[in-house]
Amino acid sequence: MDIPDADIIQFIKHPNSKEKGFNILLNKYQERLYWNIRRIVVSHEDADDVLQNTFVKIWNGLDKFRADSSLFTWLYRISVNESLQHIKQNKKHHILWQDTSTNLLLEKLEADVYFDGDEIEKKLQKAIIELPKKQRLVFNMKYYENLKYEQISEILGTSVGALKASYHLAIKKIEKFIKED
Amino acid sequence: MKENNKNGFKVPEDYFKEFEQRIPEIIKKHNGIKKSKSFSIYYTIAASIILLAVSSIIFIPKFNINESNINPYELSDAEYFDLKVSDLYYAYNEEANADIVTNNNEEVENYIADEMDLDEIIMLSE
Repeated sequence: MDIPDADIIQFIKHPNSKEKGFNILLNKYQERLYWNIRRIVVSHEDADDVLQNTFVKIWNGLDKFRADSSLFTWLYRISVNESLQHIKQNKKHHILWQDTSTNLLLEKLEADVYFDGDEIEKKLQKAIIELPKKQRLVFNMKYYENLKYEQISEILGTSVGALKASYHLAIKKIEKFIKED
Repeated sequence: MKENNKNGFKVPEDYFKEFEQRIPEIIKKHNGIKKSKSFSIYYTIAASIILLAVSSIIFIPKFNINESNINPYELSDAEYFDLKVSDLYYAYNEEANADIVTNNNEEVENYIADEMDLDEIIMLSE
């Protein structure tokens, strides 16, 4: 049964039902947040870590959630920030100067046992990984999640116009990457 | 293995069921550790703040960006546009092919959207 976000918010606002509300929220959104995270950090193991951290952060932030944004965009924003933070941390732990985030993610794609796409699918994921950070985030949210630009704007804090431009550029770059070779 | 229809990414069977069971325990453990450490953390934070305050008075930091020790992502809009053009070039160069601005500056977002060359951005900034 799909419980509306308004009801979940009511549950989490009251101390007696906060845990119940959180469990409903967990059940409703864990899969969607996982896939959002996975597309950013690429490997399943990293996505698992980040998803865990995300829900810990969500739990700790429930009392401060003021419903200025929708519940969904709030959750999404946390998952995006945690994913980017994870990538940044990973980069710090690699001492080789040429290990950029892009290279590390490409390595993870090659090594991930939970990826068994064919050559075209792998090439698409490589193309997405090669995108600049903002374009990558926008592309994933628009193409895979089919979010509206207004929602993405709320999540990333970027204007709708810039998002449209980012998405358009992302597609052009992906097309070019895939056509090469 | 559960198949996801999104271009080759997969998850282990029953992953989400297992995750849903795992999370409440992790949160309890996480908050338990937080409570026991909070007392000493407050003292550590207080001491750090005092030390920082003293150091900042004695050693006023220079906003030296010529060695590209600036991460463009961490600049506010105002700081970003206060940078000299040459410094902007240096900072941008260090983050090649990355978005270089914070989120709310429409003008610079347009530069990025148009994929202007760095030289064009510098010319417009001068």
